[in-house]
Amino acid sequence: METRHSLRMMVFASLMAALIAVGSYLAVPVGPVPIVLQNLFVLLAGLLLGGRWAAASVAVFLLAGACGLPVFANGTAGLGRLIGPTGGYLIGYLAAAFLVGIMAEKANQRVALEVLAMVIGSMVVYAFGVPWLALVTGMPLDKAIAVGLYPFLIGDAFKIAAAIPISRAVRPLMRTMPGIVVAPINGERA
Amino acid sequence: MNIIEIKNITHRFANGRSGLNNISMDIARGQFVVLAGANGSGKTTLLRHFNGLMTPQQGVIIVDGVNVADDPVRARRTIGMVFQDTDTQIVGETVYDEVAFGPENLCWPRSVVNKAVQTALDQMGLVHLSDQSPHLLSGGERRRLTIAGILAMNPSVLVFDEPFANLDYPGVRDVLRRIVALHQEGHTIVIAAHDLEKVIAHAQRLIILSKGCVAADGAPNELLPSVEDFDIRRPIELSFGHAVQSWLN
Amino acid sequence: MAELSVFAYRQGNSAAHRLDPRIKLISISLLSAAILAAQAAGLFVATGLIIGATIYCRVSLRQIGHELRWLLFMLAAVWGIRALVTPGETLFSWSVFSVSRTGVLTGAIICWRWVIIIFLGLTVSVTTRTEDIRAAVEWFLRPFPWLSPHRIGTMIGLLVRFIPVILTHAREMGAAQRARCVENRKNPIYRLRVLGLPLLRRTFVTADHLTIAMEARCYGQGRTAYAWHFGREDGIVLVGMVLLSSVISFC
Ligand SMILES: Nc1ncnc2c1ncn2[C@@H]1O[C@H](COP(=O)(O)OP(=O)(O)O)[C@@H](O)[C@H]1O
Ligand SMILES: [Mg+2]
Repeated sequence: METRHSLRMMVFASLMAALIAVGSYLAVPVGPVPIVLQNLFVLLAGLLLGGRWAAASVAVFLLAGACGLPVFANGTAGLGRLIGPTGGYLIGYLAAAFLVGIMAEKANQRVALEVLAMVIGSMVVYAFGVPWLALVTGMPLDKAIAVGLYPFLIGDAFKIAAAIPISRAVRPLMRTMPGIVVAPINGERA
Repeated sequence: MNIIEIKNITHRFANGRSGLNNISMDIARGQFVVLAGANGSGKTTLLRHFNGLMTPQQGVIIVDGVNVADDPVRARRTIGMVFQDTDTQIVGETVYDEVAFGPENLCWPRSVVNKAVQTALDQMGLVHLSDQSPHLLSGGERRRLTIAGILAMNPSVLVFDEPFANLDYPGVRDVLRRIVALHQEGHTIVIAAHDLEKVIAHAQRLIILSKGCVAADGAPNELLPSVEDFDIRRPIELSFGHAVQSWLN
Repeated sequence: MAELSVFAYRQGNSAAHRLDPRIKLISISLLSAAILAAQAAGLFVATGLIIGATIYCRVSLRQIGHELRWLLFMLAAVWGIRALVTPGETLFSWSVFSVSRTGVLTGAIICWRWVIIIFLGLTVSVTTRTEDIRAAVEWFLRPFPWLSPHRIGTMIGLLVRFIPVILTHAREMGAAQRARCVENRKNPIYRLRVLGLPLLRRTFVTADHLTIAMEARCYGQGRTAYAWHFGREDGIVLVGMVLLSSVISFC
């Protein structure tokens, strides 16, 4: 039987995955490049859920999309999205969520370490995304960096700055379930 | 024969706040009970003790002769619980899958699951919507869907937490009519509500909670004149010397 | 977004709807792999297949074009970049830019493959219920019990169920904030915070309620097995797809 804690983490991770999917539709317009919230939610999944569940969250999102469920931007689905020019970023989310998650677990809410974790996480996304972009388009790597990395750096900095207060505000909600003293269910002692 | 027996339960929240204070009550099989109280009086907290979703620090709850702490799954099969917010309790991606969720969790054979789902959809008038996404239903339809999801598990007690919240007039009448029909089929009904006018005409018993304690418990006619003492609005008909009217007429 | 787009499941009773979802997933995986390996001749065969499938699914091409406009734009960009950066025999040139023949050709092939694979995904999305895809995924994961297929299946279900719910919340919230002139606030960190935080908070509260509601309905490790219908047609389709994939990849 599931313990209440693992059931709850599973539901958190699933809804976080839904939030990541919705994130591709949400943008804050700043300057010429709108800041899309999708990777903010990936970073937050890492901060809030820890490495294992954050990775599960992104993995379920990718798996559902790869199998034809309309979860990617504009409701598209299927392998086509993952092997397209931007597919590398999506795969990078998986590694990023996991890395941010395990580093955040170690960081113990120290801001500097959490920021460092998210900086590394963001770079990991590009480490997957940019070479793939170069490969698919045939661009040399420096050009791929120019179009696939530089334009997003400022936005990423803003997202990292916003992720800290957001995670601070949400963490207390996760500690105990409202109305529930974390109790064993189905006879199992949690 | 009592289907639910509650003996001196006390619940204290994790933060030390007191939620329920020495509550006792017996609910007879087939009874139609309204549990009333102002917001924050402890209705939801009490209901969640019925099927072991919350556990008391003191006291016992016995459902159909068995202590809930010993077998919460049995209590959850006996007591179907419809929560207040429809959006946050619907699990399935289609109406059909949502209703099948409970029976599938009970590992019933596929044919039995299909039959139970069809019956429940039929009872709630949702058969034509079975492939629809729950998100696209109207408020009343969504409320009926949550009830169907419970009915498919074939419970003998139906517990509703604020079932009329956010419903328009036709929606309230529709849901109320179906609840009354379920009572006539023999289900025990417990409805938690902060206002009485919509449902009290059908109730056989009124229990009033106040600050986590049972403030009054008895026949609706006897308690109605004094409900305003407990921050519950008295149905308007009483002020004109009439009996309370059913919303179904 | 699920129901706002042409890519959502549409009810129907066609052969494609009735096909075993496992066969569908195997088929598109095989075909996708074949298409990635294919050259022009193979792509012509696949294109014919896709056009047939799209007509069969009765999705209007105009709607698809509209939905996919960003994707098509990206595609055009990829083609353009390929044409410009690939060295080779110059087709024509203009100031510092020169378009190479190999660039145009390889670019065309790559984009073509991509379009076909996207359309393949589309045919599955349109003809398969979430529940069926989820059951198929669970089935494929069965050899790996440490991945807990049952749990992954549930997570996929919840993901699909909550996308429209969260999207609606987000739109409502955005409208409410614009009604109070949030657009006058230029600080992007502030904007990200006021959009992200309430959404996240609401999502976590929703998750808590959902956990309780699932427990109340006896959610556990066990579950009624999905009713598979593997028939003769499914076998025929599977064999056909294997043959077709080999044809596409080798010609
Ligand atoms: N997890 C919790 N921790 C502390 N207090 C709580 C918790 N859950 C509920 N409460 C408080 O307990 C009281 C009773 O809540 P509830 O049972 O939801 O009331 P009702 O359903 O009658 O409106 C309220 O004052 C509420 O604020
Ligand atoms: Mg309540």
